This record gives sequence, structure tokens and C-alpha cells, in this order.
Amino acid sequence: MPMLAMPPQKHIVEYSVFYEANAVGKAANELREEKEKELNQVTQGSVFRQRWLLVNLAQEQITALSHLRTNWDSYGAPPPNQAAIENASRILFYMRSPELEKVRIVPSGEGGIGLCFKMRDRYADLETSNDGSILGVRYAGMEAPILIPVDGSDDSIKAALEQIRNHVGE
Amino acid sequence: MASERPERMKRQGRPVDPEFLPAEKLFRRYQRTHIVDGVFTGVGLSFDDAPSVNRGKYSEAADVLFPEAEEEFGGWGVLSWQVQQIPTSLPEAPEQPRFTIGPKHVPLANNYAHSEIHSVRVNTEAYCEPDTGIRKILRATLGQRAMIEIEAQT
Repeated sequence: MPMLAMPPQKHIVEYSVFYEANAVGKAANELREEKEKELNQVTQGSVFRQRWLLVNLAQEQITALSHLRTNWDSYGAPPPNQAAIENASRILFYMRSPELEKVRIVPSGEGGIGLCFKMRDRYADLETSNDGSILGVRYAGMEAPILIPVDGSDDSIKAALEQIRNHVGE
Repeated sequence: MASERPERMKRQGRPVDPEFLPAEKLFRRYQRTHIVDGVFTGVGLSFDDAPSVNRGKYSEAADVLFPEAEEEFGGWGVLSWQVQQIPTSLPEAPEQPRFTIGPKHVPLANNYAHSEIHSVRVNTEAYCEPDTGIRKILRATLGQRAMIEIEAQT
């Protein structure tokens, strides 16, 4: 059961962009700043707000990857497409705050997005591909890597995150 | 970095050298984004085509950072694997191996050391992209075993 019952945080990013690039004048900016200050005071220390901020930050990183050019790695890699971005956003939705703090979001050399976790010698990732598939892997030290299968369903994403949680630790 | 390539990089009529010793290094450039808590993640690799590397027998690590086709690699890093660190066949026992993996020397006119990490279906010769799961394991294994030769700044 997700802590926050809301759809993927696409809108949050859109609002952020709107705020930064708005053209509604000084009065609107002052009103926004005042309301933001009030909101910050009310939600300070809230678990809900902390998670909201972490999801927002991660979502912005995912969105930024969509602007990569083809051949961004100089070896011919394509940028992540909409399918990969949407699946990465779905995974974020099921992450807990400690995972959101730890996750490293990177572009995939095969086209897609990698959500990577590492703690001491324990590594795991979930990779969303441009073909719409999701696949993960985990390993400890130099032990043989083990696949984390994901069939694309919400349950399989939750199970994969649980496996990562158990492997890497919270 | 000087844009003039050193003589060692030019092919100058030299033949393909198919022999790789187990300790020979293979170099590849990378960006800092693929370093996760100090280690390279295999997510940064692709086996859609055979990945390009430079073999250490005929090159130095920094040679993979020479500009190519008007692309500059200032601030990029270089990682390496020894040939013996590349799995030779996958999947591993007890499963029946379906793919043979290994380095292949594919010299270019301006980069004699150019090679590829080649994957072929058992009993065939042409490059064959490994199956999804095997590819994921292979990329993770290479990420796990990669050594940083030159640290990426960007």
C-alpha cells in the first residue's frame, strides 16, 4: 500500500516549471511566495511533505533524462523514451522515503532509465527500457549477479522493490 | 588533450591480431553519471551492438578520449577490464551455455587498438545480441568488475 495515494507526480514537475517560467507579474510572484512560505510552515517536519519533495526531485531527474540527445554516451545510445519514463515514474510511486533518498537515476546505455541502489558492497538496480520492459539485478561484492524479474504489473514492481529493500537494506 | 593522434594509434597496414592474453586490459570511456557510490554501474553499457573497447596491447587508457567525429571527451573517464574478467560463456552452469563472449580485434584506420566485446550464439560466428536476461547479467557483471583507470570529471 503506497504511503501517498496519488498518481505519478508529473503534475508537480509541470507546476514547478510553470512557477519558474511564469509571466504573470510581480504581484502573483509575491502571492505565490507568501503562500509557499505558509505551506512550508504548516508542513515543516511532515513525513508526507518529505516524501513529496523526494518524489518531486527524483521525477525532475527522470524528466531531465528525456532531453538527452541520441548518442549521448558517444557509443550510439538513444535517449529514454516515454515508455521508459512512465515506468520509471511508476517505480518512484512505490518507493519509500529511504529508497527515494538513496536512489541514483541514470540513463541506460541500451535506451531507458536505471534506478540504482548501493549500500556498502551491495548493489541493485531496476532498469526501465524503451521497449516498455522492466528488469532488475542485484549482487553483493563479487558474487554472481541475480536477476530481479518484473512483469510490468504493479505487484511485480512492489515485489522487486521489496527484494531490493531486503538486499541493500533501508 | 592534443588532437593529433600518436603513431601507436594509427593502423598503418598492421594486421588483425586475434590473440588476447588473459591479463590484457580493455579500455572504454564513461561519464560520471554512471558512478554509483564509487563504482561503475552496468546500466551504462549496451549490448545492442558489440561494445567498443581499446585493447591495452596497442594503446594507453587515455587513447579512448581522443576526439572522434568532431566529438570531444574532455572530463570523461576511462574504465578497464582484464580479458580474464569477461565471462566466456553465458548462462553459467548448471544451465547450458547459449552464448560465447570474448574480445575481438577490429582495428580502424586511426585506432589500431579498437576491439569489441563480442557475443555469438554457440556454434555460430556473427555477432548476436544476447537474450534480455543474459544481457542484463553480462552488463551487471562487467559493471561489477570494471576498474577506474581515469576518473571522470563530468
